[in-house]
Amino acid sequence: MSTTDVPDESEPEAGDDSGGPSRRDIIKGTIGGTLVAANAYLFNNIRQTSAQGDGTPGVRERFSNQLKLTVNGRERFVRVEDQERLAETLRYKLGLTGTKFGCDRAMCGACTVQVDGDPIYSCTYFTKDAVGQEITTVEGLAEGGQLHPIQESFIEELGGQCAFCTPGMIMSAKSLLEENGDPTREEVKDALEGNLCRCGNYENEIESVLSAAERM
Amino acid sequence: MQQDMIPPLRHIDATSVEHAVRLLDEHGSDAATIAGNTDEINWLKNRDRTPEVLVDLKPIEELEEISETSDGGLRIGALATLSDVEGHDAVNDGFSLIAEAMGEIATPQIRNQGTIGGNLTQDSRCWYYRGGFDCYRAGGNTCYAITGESSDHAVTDYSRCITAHPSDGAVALIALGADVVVRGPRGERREPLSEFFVGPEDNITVMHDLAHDEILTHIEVPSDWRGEDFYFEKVRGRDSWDFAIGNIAAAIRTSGNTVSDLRLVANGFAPTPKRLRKAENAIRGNSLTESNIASASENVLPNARPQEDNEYKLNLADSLVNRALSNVA
Repeated sequence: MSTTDVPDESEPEAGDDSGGPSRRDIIKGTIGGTLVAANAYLFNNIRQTSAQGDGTPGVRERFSNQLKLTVNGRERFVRVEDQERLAETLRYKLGLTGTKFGCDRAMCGACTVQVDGDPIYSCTYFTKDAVGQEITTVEGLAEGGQLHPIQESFIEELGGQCAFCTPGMIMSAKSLLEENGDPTREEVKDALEGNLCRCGNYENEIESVLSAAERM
Repeated sequence: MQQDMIPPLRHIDATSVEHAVRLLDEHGSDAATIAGNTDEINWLKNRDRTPEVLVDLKPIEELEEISETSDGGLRIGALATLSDVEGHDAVNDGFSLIAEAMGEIATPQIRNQGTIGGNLTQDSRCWYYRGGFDCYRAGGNTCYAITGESSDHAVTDYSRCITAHPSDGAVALIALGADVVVRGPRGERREPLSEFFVGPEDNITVMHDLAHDEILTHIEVPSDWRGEDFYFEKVRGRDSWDFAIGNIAAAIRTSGNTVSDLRLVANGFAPTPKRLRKAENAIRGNSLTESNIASASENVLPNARPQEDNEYKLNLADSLVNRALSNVA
């Protein structure tokens, strides 16, 4: 069997918002379902049946009850509860434990990740809302084994003390430096105001971001 | 670490305001409305609220738009995020007071997610009410803050419940004379934002007059105060982010050094945003000299009945008025 068993017609039709799957979809789904049952790994080869771009669920999502998330540039398919939050999905289902649960009340910032480039608290953000958007976690920063300049700076400037808040700090810093490559000390403080550090290591965290700005 | 999972529920994306209203009607008190969802979700985690259905307004794109109206005012969709409002050209061109207030709300993370509609419709921050105490606001028959800790609470206009209104956005918008547009099962209605808020004397369990099946759709700011002198200040307990202990928004029109008209609105002092009319009347028609400012900013909350814990707020209110007027002078 090869992917050609599911030809291009499995592309979800644009503008099909009738709600329920059409007969055609069911036939397509049946083919898909057989494939899963027989050769689960083959599912990965029929990407074209999944949602494209705009977040409308494709056949794969509708028949497997999975959502397609784009995490650190990779497509991840995952089954998600309606009340599930992004930090739960990232940590418990996708194994991305760099994102921390701190207060779990949108107050401390340890769970900060980027959604379409903007920092948000992933403990207070439904996973469903991230469908169709680019999710970036601290794991997505290093490239080819090379740490990101912000990560380098946090090491050099001792930006992490116990370091539990560090992944969130780094994600907030990244969002700042993407918009403003040469921030003042005040601007760094403003950008980090949503990230609390119980060690009180703020000076080193601010220095780390300022020095990262110079490296980038 | 033990985390609080949210109990199972159905999350329904509303496709239009009408759809949302229909869903809220259908599910009644089993449903809760969410948009930015930076606060409601925390009630769910605490299991102090356990709706079976969440009606999510976020997908309703028409409510995200911010635009200049034909008469030079502003029309802000209730779903515009706080950071979108803060950075929008139409807002910064003549209505910088709004942008300033937005920039002081919470943290960058919350501003990226929270909406301006949510900022206006937010619930009380009273730590007893939120802590699950059976207080007046929660349907009980006592106020724990009066006998307990009330340093953040209201000093005036309260009745039994002494919660203070927490919104930073509300004061800026009321100072500019904004209206709110609300849609519900009986169609659309509009009212001044200053009348949108409900004090405990009228209804002790709510903060605003939205019915369960009504949606705040737009905020409209008239051109009246466009480009005038503005002042916004938020005082909080720490340098990092926090809710306001007290804040003030001022819109001041001067000719020469004489104040021809002004609006001073403060939050953190009463259960609803507070127009400081005594101070307004004292300075209106007068010049902004040091002595006029000093007398206008004396005892700006004449009917205040503070608790022992929050008496300091009277001086705070006076100082905020003084700084607002001095800044323009």
